[in-house]
Amino acid sequence: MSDLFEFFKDNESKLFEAPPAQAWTKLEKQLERKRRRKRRGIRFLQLGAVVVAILLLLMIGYGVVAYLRGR
Amino acid sequence: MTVIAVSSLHLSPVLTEEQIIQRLCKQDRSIQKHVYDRYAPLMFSVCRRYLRSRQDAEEAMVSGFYKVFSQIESFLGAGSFEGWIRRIMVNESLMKLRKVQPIDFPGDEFQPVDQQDHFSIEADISAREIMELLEELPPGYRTVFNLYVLEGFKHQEIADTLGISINTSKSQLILAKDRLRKLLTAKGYL
Repeated sequence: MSDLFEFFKDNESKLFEAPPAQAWTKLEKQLERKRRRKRRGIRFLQLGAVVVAILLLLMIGYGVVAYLRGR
Repeated sequence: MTVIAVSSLHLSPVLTEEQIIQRLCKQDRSIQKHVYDRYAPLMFSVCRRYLRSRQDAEEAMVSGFYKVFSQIESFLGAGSFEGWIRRIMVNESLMKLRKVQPIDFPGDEFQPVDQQDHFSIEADISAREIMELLEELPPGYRTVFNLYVLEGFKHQEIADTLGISINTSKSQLILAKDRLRKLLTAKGYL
């Protein structure tokens, strides 16, 4: 490796630069949007599970009633 | 997974890197902020080296940290956490660079001969001057130079990452070195 490469490698830490102050706020907004989408997804799944459970109960109830009437 | 004391991360010294990652997996916002504060200056400088515009570099960095935090489960602990973040930042910067302007690789049809120079730069050059030197390189030279010299990629990895041939990667590096040598001479550092 030439000295030129070593020069740039050795001086890399000099290039550290504070990012713009608003960068964290932008990132936080994106992360919050993702969290909300995830929560919405979970709520939708929970609602779906409740609906499926109700439908199952109704079907079982209907089955039981139909069976009893048949007897 | 390597367990290290994280006093260097400005976090509680009782937290190890493993514990930090566990808390990141739970999307703990306070630990995300600490990790961001620790690594943002380095990662912003990484993005800045690939992207001339500060705004583009900021967007690449924000997008990179978003991936770091939302895909933290994919960090398997095989390498260093910093290296993993850095790789994400490099990929984000390259994606942004391609979006802004397709990367041109001037002179890739030539096969320049690498001069085995062993000059030394004694002058104390400021960060701004170093950045200016890198910014004066065409995007193709600069990208290959950054990947090879500062990220430690091999020519094969550079070729795979940029979708170019190994010879193009080699020639861009030699041309970048040649241009930097001329710039340093013109500025009186050599």
